Amino acid sequence: MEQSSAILENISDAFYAVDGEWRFTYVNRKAEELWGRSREELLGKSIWEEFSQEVGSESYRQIRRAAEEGFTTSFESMSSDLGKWVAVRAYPMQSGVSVYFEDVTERKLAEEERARLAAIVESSDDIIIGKTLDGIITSWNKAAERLYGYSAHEVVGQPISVLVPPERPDEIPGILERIRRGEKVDHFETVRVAKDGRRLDVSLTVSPIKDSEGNITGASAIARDITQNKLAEQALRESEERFRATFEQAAVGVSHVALDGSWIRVNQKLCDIVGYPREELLHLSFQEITHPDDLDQDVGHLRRMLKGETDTYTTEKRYIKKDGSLVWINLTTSLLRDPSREPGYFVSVIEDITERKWVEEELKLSEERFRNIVEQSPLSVQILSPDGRTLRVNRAWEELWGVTFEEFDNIGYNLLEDQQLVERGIMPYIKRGFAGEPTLIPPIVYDPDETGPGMTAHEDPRRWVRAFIYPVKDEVGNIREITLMHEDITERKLAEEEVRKLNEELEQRIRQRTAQLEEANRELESFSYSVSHDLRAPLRHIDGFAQMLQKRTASALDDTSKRFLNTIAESADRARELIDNLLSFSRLGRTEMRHTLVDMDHLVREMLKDLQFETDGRDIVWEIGELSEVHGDPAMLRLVVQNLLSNALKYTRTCQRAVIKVGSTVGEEEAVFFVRDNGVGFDEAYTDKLFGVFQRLHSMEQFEGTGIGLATVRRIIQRHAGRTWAEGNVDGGATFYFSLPLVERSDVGAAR
Amino acid sequence: MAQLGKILLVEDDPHDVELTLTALAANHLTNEIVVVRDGAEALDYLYQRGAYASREAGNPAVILLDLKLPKVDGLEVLKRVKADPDLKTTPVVMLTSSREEQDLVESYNSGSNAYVVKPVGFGDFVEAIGELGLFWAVINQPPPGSTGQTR
Repeated sequence: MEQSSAILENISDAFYAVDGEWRFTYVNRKAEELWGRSREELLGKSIWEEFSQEVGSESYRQIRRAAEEGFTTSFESMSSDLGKWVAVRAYPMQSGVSVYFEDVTERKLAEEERARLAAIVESSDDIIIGKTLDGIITSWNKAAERLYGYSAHEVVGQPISVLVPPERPDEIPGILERIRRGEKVDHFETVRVAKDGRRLDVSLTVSPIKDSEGNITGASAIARDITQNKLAEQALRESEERFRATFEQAAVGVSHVALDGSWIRVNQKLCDIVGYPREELLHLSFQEITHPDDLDQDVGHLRRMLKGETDTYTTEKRYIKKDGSLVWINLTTSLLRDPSREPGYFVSVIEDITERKWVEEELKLSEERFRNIVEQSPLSVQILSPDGRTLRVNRAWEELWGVTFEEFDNIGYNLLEDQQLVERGIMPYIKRGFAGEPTLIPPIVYDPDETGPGMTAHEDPRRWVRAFIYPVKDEVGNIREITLMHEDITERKLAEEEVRKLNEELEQRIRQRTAQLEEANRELESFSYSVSHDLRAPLRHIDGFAQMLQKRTASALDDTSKRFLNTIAESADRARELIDNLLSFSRLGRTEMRHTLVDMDHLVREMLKDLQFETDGRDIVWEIGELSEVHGDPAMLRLVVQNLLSNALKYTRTCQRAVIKVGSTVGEEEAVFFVRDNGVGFDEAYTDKLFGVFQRLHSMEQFEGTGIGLATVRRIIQRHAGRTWAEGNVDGGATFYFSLPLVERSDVGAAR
Repeated sequence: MAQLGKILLVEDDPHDVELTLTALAANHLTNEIVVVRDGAEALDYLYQRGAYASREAGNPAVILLDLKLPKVDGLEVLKRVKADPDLKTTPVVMLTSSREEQDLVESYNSGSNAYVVKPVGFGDFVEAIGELGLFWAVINQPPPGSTGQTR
């Protein structure tokens, strides 16, 4: 007992024993130490009385069980009495129990700490892997399982390189080398391969693990899956790209404007709109390029936004372009605020609306113009509703009917119910217009007095009007309103009446004048007839009686008397010739013309044959050119040719060799004929007299003639609407021209 | 020798009458020549009335008829003669100064048998009167009922 007591006293565990009555029979020194009580105090005392706090505890139950059921037990428990963890072993004895216990608080706390740390590691979202300096995996948490797909069981003991992509063989040795040197690898971004082959972006932090002596025994790698981050980064990058592209390539101008109005960012379109290079624009503020008249309202809008009264505004205003010209823009501006709701900057969308403005202004102008035209139009315009009520009228309408629209409106007039229009027979036209067909309404006389009282201020209210009815339709074809335009044709109708009367009078006068002319013509004919008949008779008598006298006195008369008688006879003959020519000339003016196609070539050649007897014995060269066909009276033209050729023959009589040319040229409107001779010609000073009646440039002794030939030519050509003229020199020959129109014309000379 | 038919000369101008008679005489025409001075007298003669009521019956062998006559003009006389069934066969020679075409046309349209424009030259005049007198009063067989018709 002594020996065992010495042993018990020296063991490191605390020891005590109790008897069957739970009284202490032994307490060693260590127990005294732990409890802080002396064995003298405790021996013989009941354990549950001395340590009453333990009654009912785990220790109490275990120790009692060991004593009562007779088997050994060991357990660890928190001693509330000691405030420490204790490990207890209880051995039953014949009577009582012997108990060993030790303070395991330190160990217990260490274990708890470790378990807690392990739990943290296990539950971490970060991948935490332990490995040896050779790269063999020693620990593998749940997050690692989740990310890489391998269970701890599968990979612990395997080299860490199973996770490394084949193209990065040097990575792990490099990291391990740094770990051996005691360095830490921080936030190393790399790629790892999961069990299923997926590539994962990870951020690694690898730290050396040291033992209690500070030797590096392994490494812990904390990996973070940054695939999402990477994707987010990429998404952000793409989003920014998209934004930049949208910003830059927008069809409208886009800008970010600082709160002070300076441009922070502008896109190309905006630069195009205002005509500034980007760099230049960025040095300006929006105030500097806004039209002064538009600036106040713009600034006002911005101020309201800054006050938070509104988030966005849209306005139309003018920018001054770099070249000084103005551009109309539609501006939509929003204020962007930072997360703390403080104003950040303005975002503006700018649209060039110059063209739209222009169109709007044009439209306005056009409407204005149209309204003016309608208002100022001399045509009366009345605009009606589809049910016949009058909506508007213009000034001309009011003047036409002598009533203002207000006055008229009070009458309650409805066009479709106007009996007068029914009576005048034009209601069907009006109905057609109201049915949608533009319709011209025949002129009628309208009496506004029948329509209603006070309808007119005119003396004679009745008006001749001609109207046009035009339905105005909307886009789908419904009739919106009816335009009725009247023209007051009263004046015209009166004028027409006047003209008709005048015409009648004129016709009457023409009839009278014609009758007078016919009378004069008859008288002239009668005169010609008398001349022809009565003037010839005395001539005949002069000749007859002179001859009879000559016969009866032939032997008795001397030569002088005979010559006198001859002269009397010759004079009579000459007078007859004059009369005959004069008659035929006057007949030219009265004879009706026949118009046919005349072959001048044929005509001239026929004439040459007729003239043969005059040319016999003379040396004459005829040069007849090609002569065109003309329209005319063949008999008259024959007379022209005859006269001209006879003249040419006559006045070349003194030439040894006569050369007579006949020719023609054809112009656009007329054919010109000429007869040229090399005869005695004429003095150009007397050209005017050539074509006059009885005008002669030569004496009868030189060349016989009555002076009627060229007058006849001119009269005939005039009647053909042609011209006659001549060129010549004394002893230099003469050329006579006449022209005939190529287009058949009326007998312009008929009245002469 | 058979008696030659009468020639009725209707001419108002005494100078022309004288010249015509001279011309006829110069051509040795021996026909009896009745001279009347206007259309009315000519018609009186032809219809045997007035101063000629008691003349010997029968129509002239030829009427030499001036166109322009006082009272009733030559064309009128011509038309009356040619419209009368008893007279229309009597040859009528229009003897005139007029060269007017319308006179000529109207004369022929009215049934004249010849139309002679009196030549101004006396020689021509004598020749013309002689020829037409010879033809119409001597050579031409007058229609039945003419005076002096003996054959």
